[in-house]
Amino acid sequence: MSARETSSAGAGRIVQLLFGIAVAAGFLLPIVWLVAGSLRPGSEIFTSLDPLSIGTFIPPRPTLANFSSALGGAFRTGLINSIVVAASTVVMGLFVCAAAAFALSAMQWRGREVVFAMFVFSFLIPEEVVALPLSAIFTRIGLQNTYIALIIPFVGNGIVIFLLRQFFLAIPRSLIEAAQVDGAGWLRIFLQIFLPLSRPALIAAGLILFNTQWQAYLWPLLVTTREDMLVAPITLGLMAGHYSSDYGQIFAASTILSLIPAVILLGFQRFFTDSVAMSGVKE
Amino acid sequence: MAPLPFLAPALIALLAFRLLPAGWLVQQSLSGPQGEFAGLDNFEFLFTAPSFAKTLQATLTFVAVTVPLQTAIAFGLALLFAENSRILSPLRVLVFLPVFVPSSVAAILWGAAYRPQGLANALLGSLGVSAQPFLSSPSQALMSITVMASWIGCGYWMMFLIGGLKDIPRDLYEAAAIDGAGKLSSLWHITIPLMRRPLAFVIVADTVAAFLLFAPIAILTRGGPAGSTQLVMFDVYQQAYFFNDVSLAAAEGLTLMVIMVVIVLIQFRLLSREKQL
Repeated sequence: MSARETSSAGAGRIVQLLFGIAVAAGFLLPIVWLVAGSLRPGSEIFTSLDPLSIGTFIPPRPTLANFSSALGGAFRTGLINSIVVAASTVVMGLFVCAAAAFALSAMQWRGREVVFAMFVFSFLIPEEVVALPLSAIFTRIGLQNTYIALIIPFVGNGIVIFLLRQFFLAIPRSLIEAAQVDGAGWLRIFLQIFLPLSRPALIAAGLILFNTQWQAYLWPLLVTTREDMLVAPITLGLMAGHYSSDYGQIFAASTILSLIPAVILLGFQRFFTDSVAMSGVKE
Repeated sequence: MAPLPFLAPALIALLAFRLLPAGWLVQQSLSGPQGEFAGLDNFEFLFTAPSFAKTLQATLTFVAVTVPLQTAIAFGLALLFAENSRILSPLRVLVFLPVFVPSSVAAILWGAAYRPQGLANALLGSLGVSAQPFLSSPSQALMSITVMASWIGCGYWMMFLIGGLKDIPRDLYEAAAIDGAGKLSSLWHITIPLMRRPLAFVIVADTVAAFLLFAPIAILTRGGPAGSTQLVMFDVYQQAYFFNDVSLAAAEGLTLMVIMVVIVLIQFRLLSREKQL
């Protein structure tokens, strides 16, 4: 490679990096504004924009007052409800989906592929489309305003079953046969061989279940009316809907609501990107 | 039956939370206000109502603008950030960061940014552009929602496309470079053809997501101003909860589902046919 070619490749590289930095900064900007706003008095959030300066995005006198007032109000109940509901969804969802994936991979029986196809296609019906009739059923049987109503529709998840099944299919059959020779039943094979071997897939599955529940807005809106049963996104929507909204509190609540999944998902980033790759593009 | 105990909980979930309400949706959509059989009356009413024509128009416009825009940007981002390097990898995480922001939070954050004295106008002002009405203008509101949705969506779809880019064998590019192919030519002749599968996935999944958009509308615009953001998912909700017309809402929900399936099938066909060329 001649000297001129090397230097033009180097220049291209610098352009790429500068462009990458500009793009990333653009995506980050609203989040910086959100966090900055959560750390300053609500009255300053909009006044600090005129004129734009470094002080717009880095509050000169940061304070946690918004966080304590947000967590002192209705938002705290919402946050606790959201955490309880999301955690229960993950635990129950993992058992339900892993058991189904196990029956659809490790065990061999007639009609297995048909049942699997039925699973995949039924869960392709978007939750949003069936939410209205489903909420009417829940109201009729008196499950409105209960944790059960918030949790159980999210426990069976087609993508999670699909993902776990893919992983289970890769576990060698000889392990099953060896365990059967030792007299192990299906339950023991499931609990003592498949689950321990599948930790990465289970983490990825747990993240999908968590995120689906944490993002939910329409369903909680339909099945909860009592203030003490509202989940955090609904509470947040109500806070913003008031005419005299305190944006400091709203920004603090928003920051908390985004920080929790960010910390959890970034902590497991490797598993999450794996799950993205496994659930979608690859066969 | 050995598999049944393992299968039963998921099977019950499937029946109770998908198939049963889907069946109920169909039944409701064919019923009158007293629950009597009404044939296709609801659908007839729906398709002759000017308000539904407007809803459908807004929804299709939203999908037709949002999906190509997000796919193109996500593809550009994937090309920019696919490589693992000390600088690019952390930047990629920053682009992905909005994905963690729940849609309710994103709606509220962008709602604040779009206010007359908000961040968006402050940024435009610093570039010398006059203040824009954004969500309070019938001609800008839907586009403002698209920008908001893309802030979350592009980083998410980028991750799928990066996964696809990593599967392309490096020696194809090396061979092309030896043959004297430039960057653009390898992009056109190697990258894009080999990315057809992941791109198809992103287009289809993004189409579904765009049709089902709900939280930002419910929180920010409630369909307004002047019905310009009356997207179909919000309209269904409004029919059922504010106008108490469950049968009409069911008919509309079912219509949404059918339109979505038809469009996704067309996309699949087009994208898989191109592959054979």
